[in-house]
Amino acid sequence: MATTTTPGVDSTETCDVLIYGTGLVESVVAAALAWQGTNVLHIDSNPYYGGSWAALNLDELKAWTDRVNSASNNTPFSDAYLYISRNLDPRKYAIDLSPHILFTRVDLLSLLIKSRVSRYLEFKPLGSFHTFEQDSFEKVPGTKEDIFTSQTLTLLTKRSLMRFMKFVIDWEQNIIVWQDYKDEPISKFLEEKFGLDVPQIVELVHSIGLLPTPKTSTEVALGKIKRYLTSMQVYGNFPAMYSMYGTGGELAQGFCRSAAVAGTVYRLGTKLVGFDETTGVAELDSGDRIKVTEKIISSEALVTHDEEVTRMVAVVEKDCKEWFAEGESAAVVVFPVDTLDGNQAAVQVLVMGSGSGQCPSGQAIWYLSTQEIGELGRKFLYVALEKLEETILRESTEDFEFDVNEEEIAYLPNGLPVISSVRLGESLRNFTPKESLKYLLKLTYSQKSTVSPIEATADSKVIYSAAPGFSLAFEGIVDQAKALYELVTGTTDDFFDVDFEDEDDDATVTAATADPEAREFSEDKDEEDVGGHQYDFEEVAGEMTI
Amino acid sequence: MHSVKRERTSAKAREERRRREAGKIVEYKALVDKVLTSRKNQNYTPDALSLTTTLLKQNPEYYTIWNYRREILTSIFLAQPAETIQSHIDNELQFLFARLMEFPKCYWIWNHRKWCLETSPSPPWKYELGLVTKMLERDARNFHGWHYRRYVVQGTEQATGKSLVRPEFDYTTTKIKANFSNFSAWHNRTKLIPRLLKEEPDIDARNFLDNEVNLITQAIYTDPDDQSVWLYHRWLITSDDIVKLSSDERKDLLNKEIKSIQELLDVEPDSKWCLQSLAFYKCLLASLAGKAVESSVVGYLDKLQDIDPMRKKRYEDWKVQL
Repeated sequence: MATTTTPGVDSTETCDVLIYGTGLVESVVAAALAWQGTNVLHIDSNPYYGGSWAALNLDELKAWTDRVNSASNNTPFSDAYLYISRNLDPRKYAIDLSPHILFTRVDLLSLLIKSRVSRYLEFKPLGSFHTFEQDSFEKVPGTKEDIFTSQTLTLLTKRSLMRFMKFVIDWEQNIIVWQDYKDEPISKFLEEKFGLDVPQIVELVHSIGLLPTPKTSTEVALGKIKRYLTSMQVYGNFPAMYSMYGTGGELAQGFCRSAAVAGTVYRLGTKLVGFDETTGVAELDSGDRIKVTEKIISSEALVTHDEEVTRMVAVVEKDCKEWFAEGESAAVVVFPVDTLDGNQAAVQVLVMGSGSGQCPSGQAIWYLSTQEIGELGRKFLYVALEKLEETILRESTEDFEFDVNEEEIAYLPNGLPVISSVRLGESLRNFTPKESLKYLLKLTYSQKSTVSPIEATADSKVIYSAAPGFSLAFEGIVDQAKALYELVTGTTDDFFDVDFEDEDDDATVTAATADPEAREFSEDKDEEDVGGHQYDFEEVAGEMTI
Repeated sequence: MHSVKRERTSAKAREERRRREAGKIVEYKALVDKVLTSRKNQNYTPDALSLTTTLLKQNPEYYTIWNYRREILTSIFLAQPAETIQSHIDNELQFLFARLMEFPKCYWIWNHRKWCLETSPSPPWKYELGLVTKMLERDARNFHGWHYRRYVVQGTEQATGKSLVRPEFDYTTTKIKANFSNFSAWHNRTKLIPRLLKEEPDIDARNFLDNEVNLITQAIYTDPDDQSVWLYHRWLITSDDIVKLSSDERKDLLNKEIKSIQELLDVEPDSKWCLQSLAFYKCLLASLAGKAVESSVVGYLDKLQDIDPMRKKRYEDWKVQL
């Protein structure tokens, strides 16, 4: 890019593409264009990367709240109410404005690996998906082994579930089974075609499919359900992952870094104040004028009032480890339709423990969202919040007392006493916690989706990228990026078609499945016959479990 | 190999490959000749051992060479003190370990390992159990591993005088919970249960059996196409080695299981194993009760001929014998 002289002086630079906003989609496009040799200038009005996808520290969050509530708000967010307790260190928090998890079998992960952007990031596993049923969080069975070992499913339910799982893995090929139900609600399909009962339907729809309602069309729903099931066992016993220190924003930053390596110039804290379509000159708030030879990609699309999601963030003084699987620091909890006094859309909760890097140890962040809007949306979020509070207090309390009569105790043949589990369940339900939960931060806000003001064609000089989606999982990012890329270059054939140089041979995210001990064994310990090499037997024997 | 695409190589590439392989074949044949001649000359020197090492690295399936290797080692061990022999055995075990990583299912490698243990002045049982556990972690369905495991457990028990039946039984439970499509794990269980019940007389054998039946039924309903779970079920229901059942008790058990399988057949009408098992158990029940076989069995066998045409004759045969 033809470089400038001193800042502040009226100078005209040139670039091929000016990208306004460092959101995830824009950042992917920036990197894609840059690696194909395009001169890209990538700017963002915020002093941080990520735009609407960013994870903010508490100072940034306060500024964001003011901006969102001001008259000049041009973000997809609105109606932000923020409470922050005193004495919190602002830099110890990364509040994710639009948290997303990454299933292992999605094209975004493939792109992250292919582009080597995954090397800039640290991912952690997420295998705990719970459904709120009858006042408790039930972990959903996602594999054959889960179904086999379940103590609560009946034999016939196990069979029906397995039959459905086998079908859904290959559902696109088995059109005859579902084509009559294509646009019908998924709940109807599951009940009529597979004889599944309500609890299983609820779990499949809400926690496995992450769908807002069981009325979602069958064709859409089957794809989402398959995504979860086929994502299991790719890296381990979990279907999804998340990046540390924030989700979308960290990925965006990673792609920006990649774009910078490829030559993209970055300017944060810079606004685009004007653009002359005829001359192709853009004006920045710094006074700089940029001649844009190809296109401007802007994240400042108009918001639409058709769809909206209501969000709540709560930082609690509890580590919430009772909800995490072993070795994990996050969990997903879904409150299905009609479990919170009449909610017509699910409430999805992403629990991030301190292991996610988003908060200090001993605390956790609860991200709640629902597609119910406005006052109603907030109401349901508060009800869900109460349930979460009740549950974590109950599960984490240390002083648990309950009355047991002698008659309720039975004895095993080896002398161990056993209490009826029904009675135990009753006691748990009647348990009132002595302590209450301390909230360190509470934030509620609304988020709208965006729509492009003009039909973007190959002729449009300005094209718009979309705001973050409402789904809890990253969806459609690569497709959107490719669509924008095609509008600029006319093709998607060379999208990230780059031969990155490997610093080392082993460059993939396979940490979870790589057995370090097996590798150690398979290193060439092969001695040429008589060598007298003493092998350390004890070292290996110590791993044996008897 | 399954689902490996055949590459459309050009004639030139194929010719190139053939030339390369031809060279390797000549080399290999020369090595084999050398080794076999060495054996004919009764050469039992360390050099001969080295030759067999080279050859076995390329082809561990050539069992004659393993035989020769053992002849060499035996000769070397003659009139040697125990420490020297042990040191050689340690080297052998290490050599074998590397071979196992490459060829975990080669009979001769496992066999030679067993020979090493048998020849060893102080067999490292603890290490061996750790090794086989690791191998089964890599592939829980490797029946060589399971067979060797039984051998090692036996050796350990003899050396220490302590029974390992309980931890071994728990090990099979762990493996089954991780993936119940594991014939070897179920098979091992059948070997351990009779011993377990004998060594722990506090266990109520009938209760134990009922729990096992419940467990296998969960597996059957989860995956009725899995052969291993049906075979285990059959052993549970018909074996006399778990608990002594009276004729009436046996008949009751059969009836209960027939009912359970029938319910599964209702939702899975084309399940080969349901039909086969029902036919088998109903025949067994009939012979115990001294009555004629139920007419429904003919229906099962007819259906089986349809859905399992490869074994048509077998079912026909069965029908004739009813």
